[in-house]
Amino acid sequence: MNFRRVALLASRLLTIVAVAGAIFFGFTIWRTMKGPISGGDFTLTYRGQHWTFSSETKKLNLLYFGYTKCPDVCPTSLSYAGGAFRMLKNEELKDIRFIFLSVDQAHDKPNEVADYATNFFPTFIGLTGGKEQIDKAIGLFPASYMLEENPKSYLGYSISHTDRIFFLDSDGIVIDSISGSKEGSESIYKKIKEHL
Amino acid sequence: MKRKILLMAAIAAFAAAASADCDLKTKVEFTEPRIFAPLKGSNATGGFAKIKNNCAEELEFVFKSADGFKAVESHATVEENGRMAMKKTDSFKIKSGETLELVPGGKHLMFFDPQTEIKEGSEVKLKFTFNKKELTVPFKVIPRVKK
Repeated sequence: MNFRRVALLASRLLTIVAVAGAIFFGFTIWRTMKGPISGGDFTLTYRGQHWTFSSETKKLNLLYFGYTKCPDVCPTSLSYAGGAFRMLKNEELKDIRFIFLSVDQAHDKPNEVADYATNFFPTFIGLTGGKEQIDKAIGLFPASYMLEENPKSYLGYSISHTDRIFFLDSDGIVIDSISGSKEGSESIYKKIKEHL
Repeated sequence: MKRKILLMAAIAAFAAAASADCDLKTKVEFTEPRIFAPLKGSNATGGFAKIKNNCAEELEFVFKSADGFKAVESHATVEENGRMAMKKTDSFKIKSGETLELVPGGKHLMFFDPQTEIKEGSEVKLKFTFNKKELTVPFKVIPRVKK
């Protein structure tokens, strides 16, 4: 092996390392700009049975947190989402699902939540679970809820909660989100089409 | 001082007379009064309308009852700390000549525990008081989900 061949080899190696470094640097910058990763797998209850996100995951999964006795923001968001699903073609519907997660563990029964979700689109999945399960699931996402007792109101309480529809990939990682009650069906549909 | 008291009494008497003169049925305009039909799995629903006050004075209205529902309330949806929250309110006020909009995501009426089947297309009678005078207004029951 002469000096020229060694130099050529070293030069190629250096180029490969430089390109790999540039790709890694670019990827890191892109990830930083995108913000921290949130989401993941979670287990809850669907009609009294254990339900795990990863067991029948879809290419695109939409997730919304709320509760069935919420008469304003939740049904508005779910109506818009239902409207967006009605705009999709049958073959597109095979790759997408909508999950409504009730954070009202004390009052929402699994069957009620499941029934409630199907009001808006027949395939919508309504989940609930124990407080620990709900808190663990919501903790994976940039979302929160707070139970506020109000003895003067008929229900005796209300729950404030994040009003966003999260777009998750097949691993449950958040790839996008949109306001639930403010944007309308058309905006949700456009975002779905971007990610399907 | 005496003159001031007399003036205040005259203003109060005029206000009372104006209030008494205001015919709620013709002076309070309800536009698109509607209730979303209750949904399977939930015991609560919402009602909305635009309410214009054509009376000479400000009106304070209280939502008292709705036929077929066990309880009713007035609420406002507000955003707090990145979360949407509902705040119960005892009444809403509408200044003379102004319109109050009851809309999804804002101020709205709430209905709890239907006692009978509330069918789409039917009407529900709602009882309000405006400055303590009673007014009954029919609200149309519409579907929540457009099919």
